[in-house]
Amino acid sequence: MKFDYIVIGGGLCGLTAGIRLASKNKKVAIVSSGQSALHFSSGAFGLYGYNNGELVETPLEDAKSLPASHPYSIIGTEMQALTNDAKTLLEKAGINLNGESVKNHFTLTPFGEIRPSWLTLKEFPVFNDPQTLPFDKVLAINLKGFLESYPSFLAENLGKSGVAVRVETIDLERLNNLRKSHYDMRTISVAKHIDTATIEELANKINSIAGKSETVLIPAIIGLNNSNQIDRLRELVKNELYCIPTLPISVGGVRSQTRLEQYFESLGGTFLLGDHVTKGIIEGGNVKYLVTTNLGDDHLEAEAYILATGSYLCEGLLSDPNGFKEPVFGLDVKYPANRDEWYSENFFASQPYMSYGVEVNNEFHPIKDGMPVNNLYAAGSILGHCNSLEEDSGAGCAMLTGLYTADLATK
Amino acid sequence: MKYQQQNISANDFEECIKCTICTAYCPVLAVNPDYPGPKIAGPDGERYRLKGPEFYDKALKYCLNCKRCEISCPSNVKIGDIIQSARIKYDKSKPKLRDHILAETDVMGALASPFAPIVNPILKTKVAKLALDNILGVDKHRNFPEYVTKRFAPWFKKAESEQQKFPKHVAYYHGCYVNNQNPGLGKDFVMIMNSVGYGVLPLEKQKCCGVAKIANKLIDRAKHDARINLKSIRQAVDEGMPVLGTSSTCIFTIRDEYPHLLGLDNADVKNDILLATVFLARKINSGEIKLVFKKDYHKKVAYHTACHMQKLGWATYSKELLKMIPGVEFTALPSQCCGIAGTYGFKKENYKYSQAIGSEVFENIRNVNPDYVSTDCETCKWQIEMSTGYTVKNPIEILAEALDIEATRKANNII
Repeated sequence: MKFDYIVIGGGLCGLTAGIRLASKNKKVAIVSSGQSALHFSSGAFGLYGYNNGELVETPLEDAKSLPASHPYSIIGTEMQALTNDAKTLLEKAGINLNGESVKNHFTLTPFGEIRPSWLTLKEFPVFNDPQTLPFDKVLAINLKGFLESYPSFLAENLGKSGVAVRVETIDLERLNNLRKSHYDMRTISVAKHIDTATIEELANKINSIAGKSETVLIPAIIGLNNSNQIDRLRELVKNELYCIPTLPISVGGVRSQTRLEQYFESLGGTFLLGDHVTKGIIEGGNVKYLVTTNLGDDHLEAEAYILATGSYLCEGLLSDPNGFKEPVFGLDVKYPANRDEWYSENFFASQPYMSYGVEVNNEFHPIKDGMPVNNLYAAGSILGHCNSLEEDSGAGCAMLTGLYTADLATK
Repeated sequence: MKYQQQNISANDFEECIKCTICTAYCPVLAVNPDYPGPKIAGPDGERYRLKGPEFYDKALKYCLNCKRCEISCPSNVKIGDIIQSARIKYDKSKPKLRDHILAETDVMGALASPFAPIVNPILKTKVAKLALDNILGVDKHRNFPEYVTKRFAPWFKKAESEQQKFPKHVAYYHGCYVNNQNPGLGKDFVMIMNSVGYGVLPLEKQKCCGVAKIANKLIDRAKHDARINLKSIRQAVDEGMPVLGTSSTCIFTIRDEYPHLLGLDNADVKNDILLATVFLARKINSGEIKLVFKKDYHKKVAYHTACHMQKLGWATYSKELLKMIPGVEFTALPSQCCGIAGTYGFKKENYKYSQAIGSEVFENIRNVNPDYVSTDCETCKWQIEMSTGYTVKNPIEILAEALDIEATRKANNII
């Protein structure tokens, strides 16, 4: 099959690149071997949140001081424009967010800790000063039997900021059936059971127990398919209401993935889900074609290719005790020969292996055997020199390099 | 350092990193609390089952075998295969009479066909439906697909000498559905192939693909039939013919379930076993053949991606073909399970889950309000027709309906 462009990888980066290309009326295919790390998103998209453990206030400004090999440094002056495009793209896909790239805002983790964010889904609370939360009295709603929210941690952590938290557990009739099984009281199973009637039941129960000046916080179990359910609940509940993220996989993550896939397909894109690129054939410094499990003899061909296969979680990078590799093309990955340098013994410290990835030149062409591959671009968390966990830059790196490489490919 | 170099577990179960993405895509988990979901039924449960068979959970029977868990897995774990293999290995319950009747699609066809004018109306009566429901456990809401008096295979055999005259050939695996219930689809396929210059020949022998036998744990019967099918397929491939089918489930079963669940290797011929729409789309893309369509054909078509079609990864070919027809106003429905899963939805104990799973598909179809729903799977067709009242056609039937035969023959230089 022939396309103008082929993106390998269907997560946040691959879909962003695919949407950018399809918006330019190009014939685009995305090959996605399984689902993506976007499912793990808490609903807060980070651009650049921490620099060596210190909070970053102005991500665009501070990114200028990152090392020259960092993907943001390669993008350079176009960063700000791309962050605006990224927000517009998400909104066009039907993902509603708060936030701007010039200045980080703050939101809450599932445990009620304060964290920085670039773009946050509209159901979550956001605030500009990490010392001042947007509420002083909170009613934290817990669902009977629900396994993935932690109201006591929430109460304790919010208490540190001077917020008074009252926890109430409520029971939803619709979930009785679900509660029969000890596996099922988890975010996604609960979210699948929320329908119009359940929203009304939930709203009535909240209204009957909420005090006048209390802000209501509920676990993020609403709006798996679209955010109308959240709007409806907010309409029905008299008090101000926000969601608190649950553990992965999250409602906001699944919804974002689904919206982006549908947006890509609505632009005429071909989303090949569950197919696996087993090898990419490079001849004379160019990718000739891709071989996939499902398409067999029918090779995938395009003018240019974007490699957005992700990091270790989605097998964009593979590791074993001898080293690291990129499995599709066998691209160059740089890492120290001494294995002890790959990791820190403190599990929560910055882990060096997280910044290993494929090497690229200044046009994001990845390097194979020391030479750039001309019609191939690498983007997202497969890139080296970016420790997205430490920097809280995963979403930003995925979207900005996705947009930037799509633009380079069509130049 | 000594360490295990590669994954050595069956169906990659030790590759599971417990990410739980599969649970978000399991259609059963959302409707049936008795089913533990793909992660626990699959790789998690497998660890226990390896300790002892007493850890086998009977609730695994609720798995539809839709493979949507496998499609979503970022670690390439064959979750559906793990679950089905466990059912085959550990579930010692004997298939009921009902299961035999539902699974033996070819035997039932052979028995019913001569009496079709009598059998069909009887199966439609309330009395018969209640009897099937009460005595056998086949849900009373189901309509049995009608049997035909004149089956496809005899017609196909008779057509062989005509088909031999074409310069190029393909072999056709028609399966039970075309043979017993919809010979028209087979004839449409032959007509399309003929108009682009291919003769269509029968396989030396063909049996039911076995998908229903596998689902109902009639494994020895399924293997017996599978060996016969593979032998004939190899023979056709040796003669230079690809083997094409018009049912996504049959083709999926022969390509993937034979090696994964029945332990029958087909690697030597796998790439030659294709769906008809895939073959046609590829030949059109490479410029080897052309299809010309009627100018006055106008239909609104909504394409439903069957689960096994999604697993095969070929929906894009069928969609591409339908979109080629100038008079078709095309909509792709979101890829979701319709709930029937072959014989699963026919069983009384599964009926309500089956309908609950399909509810979003039905709603989406009603919202589009098409002239035809199109899908490559016949059991999806039965489910959608029963649940929505819309007419469902295989893409091949729509292509045939829209095809300008004379102009196509001319465009392909067929005299």
